[in-house]
Parts: sequence; structure tokens; C-alpha cells
Amino acid sequence: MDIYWFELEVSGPITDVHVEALGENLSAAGGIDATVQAGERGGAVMFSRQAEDAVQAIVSAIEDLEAAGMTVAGVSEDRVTVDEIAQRAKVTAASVRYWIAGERGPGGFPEPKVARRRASLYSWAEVSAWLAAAKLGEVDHAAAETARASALIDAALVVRHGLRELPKHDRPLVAGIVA
Amino acid sequence: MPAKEILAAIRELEVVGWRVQIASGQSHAYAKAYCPGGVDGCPPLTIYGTPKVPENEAAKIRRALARCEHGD
Repeated sequence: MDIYWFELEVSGPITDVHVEALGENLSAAGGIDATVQAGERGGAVMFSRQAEDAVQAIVSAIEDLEAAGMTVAGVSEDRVTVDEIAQRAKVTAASVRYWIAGERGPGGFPEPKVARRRASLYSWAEVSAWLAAAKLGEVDHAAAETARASALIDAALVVRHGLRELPKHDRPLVAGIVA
Repeated sequence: MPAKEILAAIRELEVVGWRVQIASGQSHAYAKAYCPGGVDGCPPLTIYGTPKVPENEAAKIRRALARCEHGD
């Protein structure tokens, strides 16, 4: 079984009671594989979950958070900073910045998923595919699978939330499209 | 006491100005870490003391550190 890295976005407030309940549940179920970075305004829970496939990993993680009383708002694939890319590719951060700028390597480095002032976040699935194409690394197949599953399940969460907002008589119409 | 990998990652947080508050009493959470951004900073990071794979917990702590845009 592979280990799947992903994050679940949680709506606030997240309290110590939630975090402790999650720790208790995961501990009883075989071990804690989540790290919570969330507070009054919500946040994220990072997972490194061993599972048969990415969908099972993500769906079981959502169930774990909801069992602990948290509200799950979204799913993100494994997203990495320049420093993490450097560590995984076994090069310096400066080398990665050259790849990003197109000053070294074959060019066409993936755009960040989240552009930030100091710590932009890149899709590891896209970056590992770029590294493999540039003969600088190998494709991380688990990351690619996680990226696909994350997009699908994130959309499912949007639909689930949207259904709750709809008048009852309209819900079966939308549910019928996705069923 | 958490595994050495986790303690090492916690030390890296402290070196760059994160405030690490050790949890009191018996709980799964070993500590809570606050970034230098204060109330406008990153959400608090809870560190479990007995994760399934300490190396993975340490990697997530470092991930929170790498993503933080507050402080020097």
C-alpha cells in the first residue's frame, strides 16, 4: 500500500477538543497520521495516510475529521514549496529557482497552484512529472493519483455543501446528475 | 517524550521564532506551536506526541514552517 499525502481544509473554529478527539480516534484505529494546523478561523489538517488507493485515503480521512466534530470544506493534493522540491529532488533551492525562472533545465516548469510572496505552493504531481520529463527524477505515481482524487472529492464536497443550501424539492435534481 | 525526529523539527520552529507551548496533562497533543505572525499569523500547529510515523509528523511540522510567511 502506498502513502498518500494530502490536506483537508477545515472550517473554524477548531478547538483543542476537536484535536484531542481526532488524536483519540486515530490512535484507536491504528495510529495518528494527521497534523492539525487550525484555530478560530479554521485551517488545514495534513495527512500522510497509507491506503489501498487515494480515494480510500481521502474519504476515510474526511470521515475521521467529521467523527471528531470538524467540518471539512475542501481537499488539496500534495502541494510543496521550493524548499520541499529541492529536498525531494536532492538539489539546492537555488537550482529549483533557476528551473522556475527557465534559466536552467528544459523550461516549462509548472506554475504554482498558490502564488505567494515567499512560499508559493506547487503541485508535487506536476513537478514530479516535469522532473521525470527532464530526466531529473521519477514520476511520483501516488502523488499523481492523489491529485486526481483530490480534485474529484473536492468537487464532491462543493456539491454536498451546495445541496444543503438548495430547496428540498431541487436537491434530487442535482443529486441525480452526480449519482 | 516524542521521538527525536519530532523534537528536532520543534527546535527548528523555535530557532526562527515560533512559540512552542507544551501541553499539560495527559493528551495526544504534545505541544501547540504559534508562528511569529501573532494574531495575524498562521493558524496554530498542534503536534501530536505519538504519531504513527514520527518522520512523517516531523515532515509536516517542517512543511508548516516552510509555508509560513511571517517573521524574518
